[in-house]
Amino acid sequence: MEENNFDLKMRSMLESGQEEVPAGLWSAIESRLPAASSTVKAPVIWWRWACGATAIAAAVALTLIFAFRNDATPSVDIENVGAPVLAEVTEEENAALEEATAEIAPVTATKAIAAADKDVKAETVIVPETVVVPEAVEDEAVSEQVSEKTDPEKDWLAAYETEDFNENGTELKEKKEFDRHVKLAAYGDATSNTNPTSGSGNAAMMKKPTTPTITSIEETGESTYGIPVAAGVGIKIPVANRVSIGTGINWSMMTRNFSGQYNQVDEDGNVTSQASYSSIRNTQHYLGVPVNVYYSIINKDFVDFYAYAGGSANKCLTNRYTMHGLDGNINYKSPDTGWQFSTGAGIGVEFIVAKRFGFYIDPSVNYWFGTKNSANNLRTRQPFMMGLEMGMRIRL
Amino acid sequence: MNETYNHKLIESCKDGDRKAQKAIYDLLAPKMFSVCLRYCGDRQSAEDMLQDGFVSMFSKMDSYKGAGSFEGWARKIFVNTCLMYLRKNDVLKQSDDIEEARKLTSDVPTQMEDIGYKELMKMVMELPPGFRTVFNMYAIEGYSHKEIADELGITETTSRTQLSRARTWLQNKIKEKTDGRK
Repeated sequence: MEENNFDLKMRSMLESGQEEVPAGLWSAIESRLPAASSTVKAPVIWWRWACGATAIAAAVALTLIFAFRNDATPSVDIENVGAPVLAEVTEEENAALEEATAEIAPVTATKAIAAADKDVKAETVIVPETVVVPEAVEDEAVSEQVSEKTDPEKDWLAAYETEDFNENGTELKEKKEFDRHVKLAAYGDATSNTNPTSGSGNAAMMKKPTTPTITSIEETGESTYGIPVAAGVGIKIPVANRVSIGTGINWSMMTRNFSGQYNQVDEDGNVTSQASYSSIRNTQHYLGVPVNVYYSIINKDFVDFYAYAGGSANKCLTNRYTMHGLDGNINYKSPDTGWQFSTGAGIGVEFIVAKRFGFYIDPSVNYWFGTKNSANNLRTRQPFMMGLEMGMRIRL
Repeated sequence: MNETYNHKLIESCKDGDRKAQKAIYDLLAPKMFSVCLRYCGDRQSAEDMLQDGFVSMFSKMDSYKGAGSFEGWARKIFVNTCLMYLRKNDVLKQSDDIEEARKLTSDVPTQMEDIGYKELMKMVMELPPGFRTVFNMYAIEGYSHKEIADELGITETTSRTQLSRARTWLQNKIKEKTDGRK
C-alpha cells in the first residue's frame, strides 16, 4: 500500500512536469520534416495530366479516323472509262439507266459497274454521270459516248487499277489485307498512386515491438508510396484477322518510405541491435513477363485503335531497405522476393507516323495478386490500379 | 480531446501546415522534454529524443483518429522513441544497477511534500538507467510488469526487482534531502 502511495505521489508530481526547451530546437526539427503534403498531391496532379493526354490522344485518333473515312471509300478512276465524274444514282434513275443502256451495251456496262462496285454496298450502283439522260438514249452522240465508256478493255483496266482484279482479271477475294506485320515495341509505363493513408500501417503504429528472431525491419509508421514505373520491350504477333498476341519482358520499380525499427539478430538468434528510423526507404525491382491479346477495332494506314486484355507475372529481383542515420546509411536486403501477378484490360491507340514506325498510348486497368512471400508495396496495399503505357512500335 | 489541441489545428498539422506544426510543438515541447529527460537522464540525449520524437509524431499524424487524448497519443510516441534509444545504446544492460541496489535500505519518506518538482526530477535523472526506465514505465506511464518485460526484453521478475530497488533508491534520496534540511 505504501508503495502504491509513493508511486502515486511521484506520478502526480512528475507526470505533468514541464521543462524549458532549448532554443533552436524547432529549426532542427523543421529541417527534418518533409515538404508540406507534396508526396500526397503530386501523384494526383500527375494522374490528371495522364488522363488529359489519353483523352486528347483518343480524340485526335477518332477525328482522324472519321475525317478520312470518305477518302477511303473506293472509287473508279473515271479517266479509264471515258467519263470525268462518278455519281451515285437513285433506284429510279438506275432503272431508267438500265432500260436506256440495255440495247447499247448490255454486258460491258454491267461489268464496269460491278467492277467499280467491289468495295461499296451492294445496293449502290456507280455509273458515269453523263449517262443519266433517259430521254437522250436515241441520240446518236450519247449512244457513242455510252458505248465508249463501256468499252470492255477499258473497263478491265479501270477495275485493275482499283486493285479489285489481279493481272489475269480475276477478282480478288478481299481488297484490303489486314495489317499482318509483326511489331517490336519499346515502352515505358507508369501507374496511378493515390497514397492510401489508412489501413494496416495505422494498426502497427503503436504496436509494441516483439522480440525479433531474425534480422528484419519492423514498420511502426505508415508508408508513403512512390509512383511505380516500368520499362520494357515486346513483340506483337498477328494470329488472325484483327487479333494479335503481345508478349515481352519488362523491368519495374516500386518505392516507398516509412518509419520503423531495424532489428539485427545474430546467427544464434540474439538481438544484437535495435534502432528506430523516422525514414526508411524501400526499393523493389521486378522482372516481368506480360501477355496480352489485342483486338483491332479500327485499323487505318495512319492509326490503329484497339482493345486488349491479359496479365503478367513479375518476380521480385531485389527488395532493399535504406536507413538514413546520423552515422551514415545502412542497407538491408530483405529475403521477401516473391512473385506478383496481375490481370488487366485496356484500350489503346497507335499513331503510325512512318511506314514501319508508330507511337502508341495504352491506358489500362489492372488488378494485382500477391503470393505468400510477396514484398509489401503499392500493389499489395492497393491491388486495383490504373496504368498508362506509352511507347513505339516498329513493323518488321 | 483536449480543447487546446482542437480539431482544426490537428487537421492542419496532418496536411503538413508548418504553422500548425509549430503551434503543436510550442504546446507539447515543454511536457515532452520532461518525459525525455526522465527517461534519458541527461539533457543532450533528451534533446535528441525530443527532436526524433517530434519528427516521428508529425510523420504519423494521419494515424491519430481523435479517439483518445492527443497529448496521451503523443506521449506514447515520445516514450517509445526514448525506449528505442535506450535499447539501441544498450543502456538497460549496464551492470552497475545491482551493485547500486545492494547499498540501499528501505526507509519510506514521510516528508515528500517538502520536495519540489525540480529536485524530484533531478533524483529520477540520477537513478541508474535500468531502475529509471522501469520506474518511469510502471509508476508514471502505468505499464504492467508483463508489458515492461516484453518491451525491454527482460523477465517480469527482473522488472519487479528493478522497480523495488528504484523505489528504495528514490526514498533514500528523498530522506537524505529532507533530513539535511532539518
